[in-house]
Amino acid sequence: MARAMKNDPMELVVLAVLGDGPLYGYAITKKVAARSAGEMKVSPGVLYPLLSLLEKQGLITSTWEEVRAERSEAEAANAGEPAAPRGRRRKWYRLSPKGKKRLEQRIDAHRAYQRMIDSFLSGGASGGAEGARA
Amino acid sequence: VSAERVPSDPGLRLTGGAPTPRDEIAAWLDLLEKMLGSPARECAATREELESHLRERVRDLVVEGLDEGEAVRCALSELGDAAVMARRYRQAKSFSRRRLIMNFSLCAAVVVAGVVGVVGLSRPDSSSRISTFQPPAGVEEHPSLERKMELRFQEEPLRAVFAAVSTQIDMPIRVLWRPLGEQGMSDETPITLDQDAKGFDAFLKALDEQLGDGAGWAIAYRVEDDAVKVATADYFDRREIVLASYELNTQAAPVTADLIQKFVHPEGWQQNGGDMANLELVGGKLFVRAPERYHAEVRWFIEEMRAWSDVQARADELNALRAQVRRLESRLEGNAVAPEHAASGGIPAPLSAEEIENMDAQTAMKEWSARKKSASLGDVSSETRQRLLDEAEKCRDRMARARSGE
Repeated sequence: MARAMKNDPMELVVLAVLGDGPLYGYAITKKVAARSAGEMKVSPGVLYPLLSLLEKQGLITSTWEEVRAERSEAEAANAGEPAAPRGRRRKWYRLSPKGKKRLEQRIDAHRAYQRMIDSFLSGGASGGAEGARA
Repeated sequence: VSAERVPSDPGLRLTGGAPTPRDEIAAWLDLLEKMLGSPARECAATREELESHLRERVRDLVVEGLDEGEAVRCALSELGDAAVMARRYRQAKSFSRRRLIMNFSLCAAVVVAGVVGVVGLSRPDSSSRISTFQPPAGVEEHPSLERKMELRFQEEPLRAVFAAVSTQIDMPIRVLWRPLGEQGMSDETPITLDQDAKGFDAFLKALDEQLGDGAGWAIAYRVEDDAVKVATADYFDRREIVLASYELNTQAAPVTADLIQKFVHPEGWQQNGGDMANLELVGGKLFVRAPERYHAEVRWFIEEMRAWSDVQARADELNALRAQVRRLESRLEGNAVAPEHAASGGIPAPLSAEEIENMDAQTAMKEWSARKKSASLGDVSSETRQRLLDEAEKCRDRMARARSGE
């Protein structure tokens, strides 16, 4: 329980989205926003140092891959938008076996913590209802 | 953070032109790189990753309708202050260094435990050696019985053989023919031997191989009144039955009556249909009524089980130590502190004067608070506490100046 409360929820969020498959930093911010319907935003100022830490802990691994331009410069110019620059690379992150294990542990701990809190809330809610009836 | 403060391209100033939005990105990255304090290769990788992020973010913001300048400023503001981000990176790095030190300590503990265990397990009295029971040699040592003998007999009666050997060892030999008769031997039994024997034991062994079943102990002897008394092993066994008790800690050494009856002269125990020995385990005591040579093996067997039990206990201790190390390691992993929370969960990393000077009021307040809190912890060394207090003082000063508009 103490671990669930003490540990940073952002680590769980990042590990969880990487649990779905490899992603690069900017894609992680977009995926977190998409999965939370815009409710949660990961600041890149927090995300990148966190990724660095997770990598140093061996929970994630990374590889560099060159970006293939989604559209040609001509298409982008026609649309009035900048094209993705050629030769640019992205750093892709994926969960390591250790990271997968950590994610499972974090999920279990989080659910146990949630159940514990829920048990108080349901008790409090019924008590409150009784109090209201009285 | 502006391009004027840390220009990424000195040529910009020479031309006198206003910095472009892309120069602002470069300037921000230059500043971050300078503050990271990491090896060049690591700095370059961080820069490339953040630059890629910024370019994509700017592109998306432009698609959403912002002009490029606004998009760059928005993307940079999302990344925040370069000094703060550099500090987060440094904290992540120092965290992994701390973990490395802790892991090294744990490894050292495991190695020490392993060495202790290996040394313990490889002690001479441990089960790693092969231990065999050594029967008492010759019952009683006597120099004459060690003499080398020439055994040259061709169909000689057994009586004559003993007489010849008696002459060679210069000791009288009294043969009890009745017990030997029960084993099918008599004074007329013909013996053919053509060998040398080193001592009386070797002579009896040669006889045993010719007359007995070759398993040993069919013919035995004792030295009594400076004479050698020869009979069967059974004869001497029955004369030498002894009742003895053995103190047993069955928890420490799991010796059971069954085990002894299985391994120590199985044929002799009453429980196995024999008539030579009996034993009963009562509480912590093992009562054994058996010939002395049985007792010798029972003692050896119990000692072996105790030695095994000691090894088991040491192995258990070692396993417990290993489990403790694993738990500790797991707890350390569980306590991993994310960089943005390191200030609350760990000791804040050192701040340079330049970093403090670059802080805004809010950041300075946050850093001051983190250092004051950490300095109040009991497990902080006096040196670290002094550093934290000094940095807190500077942060407070910076906070005051930032609020007054400096």
